[in-house]
Amino acid sequence: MAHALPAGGHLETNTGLDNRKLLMWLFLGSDCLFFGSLISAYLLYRDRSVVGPYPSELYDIPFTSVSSFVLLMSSFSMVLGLSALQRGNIRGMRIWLSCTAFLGVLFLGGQAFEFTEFYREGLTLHQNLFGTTFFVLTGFHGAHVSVGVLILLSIVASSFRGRVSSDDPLPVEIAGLYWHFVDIVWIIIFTLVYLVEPTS
Amino acid sequence: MVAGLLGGLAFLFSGCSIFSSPQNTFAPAGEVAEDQRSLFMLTMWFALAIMIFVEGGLVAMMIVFRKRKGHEALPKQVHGNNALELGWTIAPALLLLAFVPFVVGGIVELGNTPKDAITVEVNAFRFGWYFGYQAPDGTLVEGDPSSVSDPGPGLYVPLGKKVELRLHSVDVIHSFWVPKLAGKTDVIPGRTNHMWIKGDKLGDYAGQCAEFCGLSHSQMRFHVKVVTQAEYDQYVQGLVTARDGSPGNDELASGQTSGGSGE
Amino acid sequence: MAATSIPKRMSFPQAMREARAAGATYQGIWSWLTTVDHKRIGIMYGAAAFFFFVVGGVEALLIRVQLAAPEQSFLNPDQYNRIFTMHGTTMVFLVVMPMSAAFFNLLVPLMIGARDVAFPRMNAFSFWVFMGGGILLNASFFTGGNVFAGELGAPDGGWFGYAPLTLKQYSGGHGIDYWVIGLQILGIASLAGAFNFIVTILNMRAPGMTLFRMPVFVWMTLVTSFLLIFAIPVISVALFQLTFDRAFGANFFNVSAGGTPLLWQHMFWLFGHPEVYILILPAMGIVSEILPVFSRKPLFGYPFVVFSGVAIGFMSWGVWAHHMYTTGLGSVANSAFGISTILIAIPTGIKIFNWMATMFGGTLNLKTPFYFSVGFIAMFTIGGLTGVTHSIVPSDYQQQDTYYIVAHFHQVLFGGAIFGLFGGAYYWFPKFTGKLMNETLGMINFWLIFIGFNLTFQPMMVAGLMGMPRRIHTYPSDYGWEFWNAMATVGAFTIALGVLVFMVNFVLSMRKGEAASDDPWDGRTLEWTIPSPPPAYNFAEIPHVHSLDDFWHKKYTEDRDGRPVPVPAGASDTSHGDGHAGGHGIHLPSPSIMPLIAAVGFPIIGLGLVYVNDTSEVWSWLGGGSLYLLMRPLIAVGAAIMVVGLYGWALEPATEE
Repeated sequence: MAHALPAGGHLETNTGLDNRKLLMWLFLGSDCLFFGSLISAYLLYRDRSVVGPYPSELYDIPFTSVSSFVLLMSSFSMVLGLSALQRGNIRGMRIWLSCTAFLGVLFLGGQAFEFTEFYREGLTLHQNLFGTTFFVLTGFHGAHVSVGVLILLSIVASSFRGRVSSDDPLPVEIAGLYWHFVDIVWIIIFTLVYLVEPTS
Repeated sequence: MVAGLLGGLAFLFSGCSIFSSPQNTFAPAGEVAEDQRSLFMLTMWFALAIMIFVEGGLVAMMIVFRKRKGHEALPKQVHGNNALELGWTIAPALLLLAFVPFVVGGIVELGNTPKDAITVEVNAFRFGWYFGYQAPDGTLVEGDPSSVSDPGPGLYVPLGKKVELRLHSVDVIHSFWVPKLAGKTDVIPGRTNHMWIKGDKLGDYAGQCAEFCGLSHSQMRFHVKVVTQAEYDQYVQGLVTARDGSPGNDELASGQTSGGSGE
Repeated sequence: MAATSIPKRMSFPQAMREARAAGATYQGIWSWLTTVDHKRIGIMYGAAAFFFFVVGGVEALLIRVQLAAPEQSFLNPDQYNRIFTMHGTTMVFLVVMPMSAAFFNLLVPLMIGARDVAFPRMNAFSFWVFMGGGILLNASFFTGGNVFAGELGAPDGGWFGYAPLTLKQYSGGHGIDYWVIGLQILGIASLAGAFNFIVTILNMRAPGMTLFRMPVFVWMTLVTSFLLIFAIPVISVALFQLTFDRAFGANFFNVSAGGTPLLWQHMFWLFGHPEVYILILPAMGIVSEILPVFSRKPLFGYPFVVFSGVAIGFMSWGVWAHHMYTTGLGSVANSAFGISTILIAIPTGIKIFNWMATMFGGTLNLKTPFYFSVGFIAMFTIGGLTGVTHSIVPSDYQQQDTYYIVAHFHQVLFGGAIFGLFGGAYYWFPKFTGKLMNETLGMINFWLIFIGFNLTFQPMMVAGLMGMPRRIHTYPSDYGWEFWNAMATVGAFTIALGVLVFMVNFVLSMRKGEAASDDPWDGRTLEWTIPSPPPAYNFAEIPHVHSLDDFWHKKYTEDRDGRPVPVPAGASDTSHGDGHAGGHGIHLPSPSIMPLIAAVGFPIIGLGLVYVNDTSEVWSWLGGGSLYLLMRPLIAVGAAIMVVGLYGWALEPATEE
């Protein structure tokens, strides 16, 4: 086989998985350890803050539930976007991916609003263990969402220049994998950090 | 480098023993260090045996099987032997697992606070130590701290008695180590670690901080004095006197501890 | 001997001309800055890692001079603390890891019959990011004031950076910041490399090469890469936590806020223990390749050697707290980790026995690569056995934080990893240069290093058991340690001499070495089927693999007694001859400057982050201003460069069709 060596797009691979898709799965596996470490630090330090404010004073579960739902819906629109591309509907893909990005930004807006409220109640990074672990964990998650939004918008922009086609939906599929991962991490954070009652 | 070489040679011939040190873990003067040395010797024989087998085997094979001129024939292409694999997996596993009871037993014994022990508070700071003793009236009385230039009074322990040490740090992580009496335990700010020691020979034993703590880490030394019970009581009483001004004065606030509150 | 003829000599410049003929169009320095060829990237990794080896070695010599005699002040405590911190950090992150990466790059595609790695530009990116991190880390030396007056700015918290010592209140100045940010950048480089090699190995093997027909070195690369992708995120989080504590007043390790310094230790060692297996497994892979070739018989127990490597990978996650036995974790934790640490000796023993069985009954070709490999087994066994003594927890309470531990890890990392890497250098030098390294100089190199190594580290075992703690800048004169330290210093300089001999041998051999054929050692694996040095496209035709050690089986069949018999010339369908055909019609990934541009952003951002809170007054001659105000534009510039590089990379085609 005297073929060129693209980034695994068209050649056969031993596993049958495209190189780029395998790469994204490996990256997500690695990122699990990243978030796992941050979540562990939060859980270890839960209930150990010496001074307040404390989670029970600050959390607005209904509000956070809404923004979580928004993020969940964004995964749905992501799936619709991929599906549109796979059926050759570039315009549809653009719409759904933009929708996903928009919902992501809405989620980030909700985070920003929530953090500002907490800040006004006296919770800062250096106030206590809760502030430290909470802001760092959710901050990194927010950073991941932001990168995801940028990726989605880049794909939409590329599609206007004819660089996205239904022959190779893989980049969009991979972006989808990333986006769903970020969503699942949020579900875990929401459950462990917001919903599970601290003992004190 | 030359100075080092000459220095080394000088010592070789100076009659000064190169196997003797005030912090020699192989010259224990206390029960804990003695037990730790015995445990080490137990594993050392096993390790030595394996080492002789492997190193000797390697040297022997390099001699016996080396390619000689005229004997260029290629050897039999052996791929493996499952029985051998099983053997040299199971045998070492059994041998190693045989150590487990000693390991766990030692951990538990050293980790439990002995029932008949007296308690001493050990305080570490950058860069010295001070020790707090239970006075007869139940209060805590402290000796003077050591520093990088002054070894301080040292830690007094009565001969043959188990002493439970509670370890406190006011700043960074240190480690309390007096090799001839016991292995070390780290002194960590925000928590109170504990260990016990017992001095079985009268004497003055060298100790040193064993966790890197900054610029003067190398000079954060202390010493432990194993004395008779009478001398120990006399020392503690002396501290009480120094604190209170005169014997029998019990005006001071009772139950005052220092540095022991964070667990 | 196999039925091959020695073809015309191909020198390095000739190989580069062929590369250009096959598609690369740049010349000189630019061709190196834009290369995406795994072989060139491997050479750059090797050169950089060797440079840092010399730097780390000089740091070691400085330490040994200071400790050669008691109560010396050749280095003051501040200088000493910075130098031992940099020695450890350099040797782990800037020497052994990138040198292993050099070998992964040079060998893995060749051993699996591929033309390059899965993501050639990401490969280049890994290298340039590593360079950025290494330069940033070492630049710190110059930021402490007047370097010529001995005022150093390098980090001084030890290679393990324990909190709370590394918090701002106990470590003012910026040394620790350089350490934290430098390591983050290096982590990105390692991650990128690891992802690349996993995809390459899983997806790009030649037809017929199942996982169990891969060379052991490739297996070890795979396990090491998996360890990396799971371990580096953990230390990355720890480093972020330390950064936030230092720069923004967070409370991760703040005891008065209820935090615990043990959080740092758990995170660090959760990374740290898999890390030491990351350091040793590649060298174990190299030894597993050299021993069979120089014994002229197959690796004994190939499946067991592979499985034990995988087992070590899994088990390495369950032993981390054996670095923390003295921290007061409690009897249950200490017992659990004691048992798991005892158990991890078993797969290591399996490897050692299989290596010995490989040699047994062989026809041993006593050349330098073989000496280093046997040296590896000998030294690593001692190191591993001392490790067993550490796993006996109560005994470890005496050993922890002493020179007995220093001896242990140097025994396994130097006597193990470094010996293996030297052996690999001698073994594969002919493949990449077309010349053999000089055997006489090789022997002098080996014996100087072997003797020097033992002279340096065996006395440390004694000193440690005699109560000498680690990380002390000097010791008293009546503690019985001076003889052992003096010996260790003599040993260290002997090692240095040996390294010098290696450098001389390397340069001399490149220029005037004896010509090497494609297969000078009568090898077993695919890299020996192509010319020395290899053409840019590696294989003119991707080989079809039928078994483990496929190349060997093309050269030899076995008679009734199991002895190899050469296959007559011409009867084999070895693709040997094809390797010298021009390789026309093969398109290779195009060179690109984008990985370098993207990578350059990182140290710039990093430098900005080091000083991001620094309110010192600077530029007084310009009217003054606080340093941190300059840092924000600097970070923005770095980020912009990175983004430009990344977008350029994403938008350019991977190859010119």
